[in-house]
Amino acid sequence: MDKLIIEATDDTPKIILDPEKNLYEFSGRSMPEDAAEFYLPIIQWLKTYKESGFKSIILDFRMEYFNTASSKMIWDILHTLQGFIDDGMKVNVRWFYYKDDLEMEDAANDYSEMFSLPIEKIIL
Amino acid sequence: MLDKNIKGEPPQVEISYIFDLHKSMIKHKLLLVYEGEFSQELTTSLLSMTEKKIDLVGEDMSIKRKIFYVMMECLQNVCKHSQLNAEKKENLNAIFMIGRDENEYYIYTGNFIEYNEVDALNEKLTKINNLDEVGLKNLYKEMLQNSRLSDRGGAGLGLVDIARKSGSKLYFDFNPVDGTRWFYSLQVKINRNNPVKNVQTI
Repeated sequence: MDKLIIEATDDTPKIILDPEKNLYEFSGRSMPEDAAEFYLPIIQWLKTYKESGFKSIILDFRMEYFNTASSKMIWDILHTLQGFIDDGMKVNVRWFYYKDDLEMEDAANDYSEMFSLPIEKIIL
Repeated sequence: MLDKNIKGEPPQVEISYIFDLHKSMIKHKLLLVYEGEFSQELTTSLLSMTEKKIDLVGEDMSIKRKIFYVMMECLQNVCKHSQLNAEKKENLNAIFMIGRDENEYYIYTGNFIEYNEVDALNEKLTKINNLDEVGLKNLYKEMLQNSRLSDRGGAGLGLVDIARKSGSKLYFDFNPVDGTRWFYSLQVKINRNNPVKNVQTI
């Protein structure tokens, strides 16, 4: 399974999806106009990962900021992962944010209320 | 020897409006005004210019973040409309302004929309203004769940987010321009003294 690494730009986050290092992480700012174009290959990668026989994943979100177009795509990613759980995969999501970042905490709460998959809030 | 015409003669075009514009900006406490075409690149530039202006007064990080969230969604909404206008080969500029007084930041946008968009937008904005924090949170979640990718950001998700993040009502106005076009103005306030607390349901 090939890893997927995307370096951060002014308006897209850094993506690490690396089975060899067992590291799966999104970090930085996400504010592209066309969020689907950026995130669809990532969702596709996750589906391939599951189809390749991997039985678990811990996905880390270390986001500084994201726009509503990205929030929709993050919803889609979590929705995809929820489907993996229903198929018997072990999925954990860890949501890192700074203590005073009410927006990021709010986002974690929103998503937690929408999915039964575990979203662990980790305060930096 | 200098040409007489450029030495001390009154200019051919009336330019005292520069001073008027300057005075007007001071009067309305505006930090930044941009009029013209909007794009993703411009959005990024306006955000970083605003950030510098805000840093000069050492604004609180939580207020800065709110300004960033609200500006981003406001500007991307204008961008989406600019693209639609460009597709119709219309070159219709839009305006963005940010101002500040002792208690609040004011973010303004103005852009042209089609007359047949006015009712739906008016309805959407009125609906948002009638919701409290919990109502906005629930609407946001409902829209996340039900919007499609093709909605380019989720058909109004941006406006709901602006209302949530700012904690302010959305002040808006529509002015007819000609038979087919209206001018849509939006003002959002961000309080500098009472940062909005996040809401949890359940």
